[in-house]
Amino acid sequence: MEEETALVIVVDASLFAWHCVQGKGKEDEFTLGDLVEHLHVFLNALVLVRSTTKVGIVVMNERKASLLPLRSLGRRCLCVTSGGVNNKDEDEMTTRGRGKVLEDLKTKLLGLIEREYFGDGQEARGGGLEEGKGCALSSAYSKCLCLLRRHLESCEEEHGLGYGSGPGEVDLEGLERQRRTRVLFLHGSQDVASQYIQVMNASFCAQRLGTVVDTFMLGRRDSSFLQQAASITGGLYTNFFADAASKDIKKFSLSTYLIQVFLADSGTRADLQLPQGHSSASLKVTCFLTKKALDIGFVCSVCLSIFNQKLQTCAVCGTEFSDNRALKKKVLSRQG
Amino acid sequence: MTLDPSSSSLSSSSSFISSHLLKLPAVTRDRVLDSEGSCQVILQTLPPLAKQYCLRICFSGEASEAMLDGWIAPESKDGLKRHKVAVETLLALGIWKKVDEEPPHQHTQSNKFRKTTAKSNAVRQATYKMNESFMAKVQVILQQGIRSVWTEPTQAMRSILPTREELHAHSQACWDSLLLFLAGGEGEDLGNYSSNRRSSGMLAMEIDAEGGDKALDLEMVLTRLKLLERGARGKGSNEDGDVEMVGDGKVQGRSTTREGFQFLLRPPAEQIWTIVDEFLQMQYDLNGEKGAAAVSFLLQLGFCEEGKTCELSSLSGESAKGDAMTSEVAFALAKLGLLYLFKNPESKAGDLWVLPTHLSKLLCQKQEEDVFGGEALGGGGGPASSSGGEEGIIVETNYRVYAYTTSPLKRAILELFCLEEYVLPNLYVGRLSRESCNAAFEAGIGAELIVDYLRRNAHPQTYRIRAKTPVVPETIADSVRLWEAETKRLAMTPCAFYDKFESKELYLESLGHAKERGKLLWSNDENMRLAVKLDHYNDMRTFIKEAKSRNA
Repeated sequence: MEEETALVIVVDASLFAWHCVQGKGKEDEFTLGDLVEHLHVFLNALVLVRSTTKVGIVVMNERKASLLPLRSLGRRCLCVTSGGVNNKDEDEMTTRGRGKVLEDLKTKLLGLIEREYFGDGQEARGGGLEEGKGCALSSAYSKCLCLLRRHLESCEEEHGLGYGSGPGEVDLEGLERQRRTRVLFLHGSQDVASQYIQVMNASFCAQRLGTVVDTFMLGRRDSSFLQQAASITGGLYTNFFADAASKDIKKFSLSTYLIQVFLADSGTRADLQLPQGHSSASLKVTCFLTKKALDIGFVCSVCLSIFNQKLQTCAVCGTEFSDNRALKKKVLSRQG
Repeated sequence: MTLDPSSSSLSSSSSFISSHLLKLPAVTRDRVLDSEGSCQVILQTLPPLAKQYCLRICFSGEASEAMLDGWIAPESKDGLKRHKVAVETLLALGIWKKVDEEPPHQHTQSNKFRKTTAKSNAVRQATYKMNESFMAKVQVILQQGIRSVWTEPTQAMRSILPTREELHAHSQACWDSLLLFLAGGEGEDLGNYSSNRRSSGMLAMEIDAEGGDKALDLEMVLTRLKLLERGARGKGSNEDGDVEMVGDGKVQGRSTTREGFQFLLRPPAEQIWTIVDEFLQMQYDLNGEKGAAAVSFLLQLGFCEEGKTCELSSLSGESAKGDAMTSEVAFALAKLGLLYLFKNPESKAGDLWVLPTHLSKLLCQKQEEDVFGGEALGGGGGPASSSGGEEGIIVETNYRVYAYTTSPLKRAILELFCLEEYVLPNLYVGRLSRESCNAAFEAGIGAELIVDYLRRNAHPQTYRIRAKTPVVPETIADSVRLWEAETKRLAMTPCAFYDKFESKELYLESLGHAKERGKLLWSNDENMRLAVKLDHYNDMRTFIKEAKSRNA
C-alpha cells in the first residue's frame, strides 16, 4: 500500500505580521515574495520525496482564511471539490508544467491579497476579530483540519477499511502510516485571546485525527497557541529568528531550513535530531480577559475558559455561576 | 533465481528497482544518474532517511561524518541502524561518495607544526560528497518543479485507446499467457504463444506482433533463468543428444524446472522483475550506454501516473542513440503486457506513444509489499478484478479451497497443489491433501510458497471478516508445513567416522575440537566413536596428528 500523506501549509499573509517581520533592519529583510519562493522550493522537495503527497495551502490574513486552489499541482492538490481537479484545468497545467507551480502560487496569492485589501473591503468580517493585529488563526486551523478530514475519508473510501493493507494479517501500524497528515504554520501574527477556545478545540481535534501540527514562526514573536498545539499533537515548534544569533540570520535560508526540519514526516522524524520546542516555550495558560499567564486561575465548568479572578458570569460563554462549584479555582501550572 | 537477494542487507526494505541498480556496474549507474527523470525516480525509491539526507545536502553537496552523526536522534531505537542503511544505500548507489580528507600541508616547515597537523589528521573524519550530476539535477527540480513527461491523452487518442478495463484485461492476459505456458509445462509450445494470445480475446495491437517477437525471445529468457529446460527432465533418460529437432530448428519437449514451478507462485512484482532483469542482461551490455538508457527507461516507466500517456521518444533520454533501443525495449515490454503501444492518430509521422498498464506499476514496487493484493495475478478478470470485489481464494479449515476465478492460469497453478473437486464457470473448488501437496513438493514448490500464495491471493472478503486473524487458517498452514517436513525426515550428510582412539584423552580432545567447530554429528563415549561432517575431514586429521605428537 502506498503511503498517502497529506500536508496543509498555512501562510500568514496578514499585513500586520509582515510589518513586524520586516521591521528589523535591512540585512535580514524578508518579504512575502521571498517566502513564496522559498515555499515553492519546499513544495518541490515534498513532492520529490514522495510523489503521492497531497499538499494544500491555506492563506490567512486579518479577516479570514482561504484555501489556495493550486491546480498546477494536479492530483497532488488537496482540494475542496469532491470530484478531484477539473480535468481541463489539469491538462493545461501538468502538461510538462514546469515552473507553473510558482507562477500559480504567486498569481493566486496576489489575487487573494488584492481582493482582500484593495477590493471593496466591505465583506463581512469573520471570526469576531479585534481590529488589526491578529489574524484568522482559528479559522485557518479549522479549515486545514476539515481538508485533512475529507482527505482521510476519501482515502478510506478508496481502499476500504482494513482491506488491501497487505498479505496476511492486517497491519494496523500500516494503516496508521498511510494516513499521515500534517499541518505546517508559517505564522507571524500575535495571538488573539478571543480565539483561544477555537484554537484549543482545533488542537484536540487534530490530536484525534492523528494530525501533527508544526509551526515555524516568521517574526520574533512567540505564539503560545501554536506552542500548545505542537505539544498536544506531537509536532515541532520553532522560532528561528528569536533563537538564533543575528549573524546566523543573515545566512538564513528559509527553504533550506524548511527542508532540514519540516520535510521529514512524523515517521522519519523519530530518527532525526530536530529542534525541540523553543527555549522560551511557556505552556502557561493565559487569562481569557487580561491575557496574563496564570499559575492559579478560575475555570468555567461549561466552556473551560480560564480567568484570573472570580466572575459572576463567564465572559466567554455567558454561563451564570450560581455557586462555587461552577467556577473552580485551580492550580494551572506549578513553578519549578 | 536471479532475485536471490544477494544484496539483501541493503535492499530488504527497498524496491526491486534499487536492487537492480545495485547490480549495475558503476559506469552505468553514473550514466543513469545523468538523466533528470531517473534521478527523480531513484530519489523516490530511497529509504526515507536517505531521502532526507540527500535533500539536506543537495545545496552544499557534502557532509562530514560528524555532521551526519549529529543528525540522528540518539534516543531513537532503531535510528542508528536505519541511519547506517541509509548511508550505505546512498554509497552503494553511487549517489554519495566517501572522501577521506586530504591531509593538509605535509611539507610544513617546523617540527612542532607538523605534529599538530598529524594530530588533527587523526581526528579528521571522512566526508561524504554527493554525485555532482545528481546534485545538479535535484537542484533543478527543487527550483523549477518536477517535470513530468506523462500527459493526459488527447481527445483523438482517447478514441482509439482501450478503456481502463480493457487495458487491464489485455495486459493481464499477456502476462498470464506467459505464466500459463510455464504452468502447462510440456504440452504447449512457445511458437503458439502469440496465436494463443490472439484467441484469448486480447486487444489487437497492430504494432506489437512482429516487433515484440523479434525483440524478446521469451524461450531464451526462460531457459537462461533455468525456469525452463530443454529436453526431458532428468527422469531416467538424460541423453542430451536425444532431443528432437523440428524443422525450423526449434526444440521440442521442454519442461518446466523446479525453479519454474516456484516462479509461478511468487508475487507478480518479483516475477516481472526476474523476467525483465534477465532480458536486459541478455540483450544489452550493461556497461554500455544502451544499458544505462534501458534502465532509465524502466525507471521512468515505473513511476508513471495511471492513465497518462507519453511519446516514446521523450522517454529515451537525451541521447539520440537511445531511440532505437528504447523502442526495442518498449516492444519487448509490450509483449509482456507491461505497456500498450499505439500510434498517435494526430500526427502523420506515426510516432509511437506509450500507455503504461497496471503491471508496469509493479516495476517500482517495494519488495515486500503488494500493492494490488492478489489482484494483479488475479487472472484476466478485467473489470471485476480491478474493482477488487469478486476474485480470490477462500481456504476453509476443512482443507477445502474455493477460488473465485475465471482465469485458466490460476486454475493451473492451484492444480499444482490442490486436488480438483469440481469446476464451475467462475469457481474452482479443490482440496488440499497430503498427496496433492507431496506432488507439489516433488515439483519443487515449498510449503511456504503455497501458504504465501494462498494468503496473497485471498478473497477480499476474508480480509474483511478476519480483520486480525490470518486469512489462511493456521491449522491449514501448519499442516502444509508439516507435510513438507515429513518429506524431509531423513537427510543424508556425508561424514567421516572415527573409531579406536588410542586414549580417552585423545578422544575427548577430538570431540571437543569437533564440537567447537560445530561439525560434530554423533558421538558415543562408551565406545569412543564419533562422526564428523566430511568437509571437516582434513582439519580433523591435522588436529588429531598434532594431538598425538603432543601427547607423545
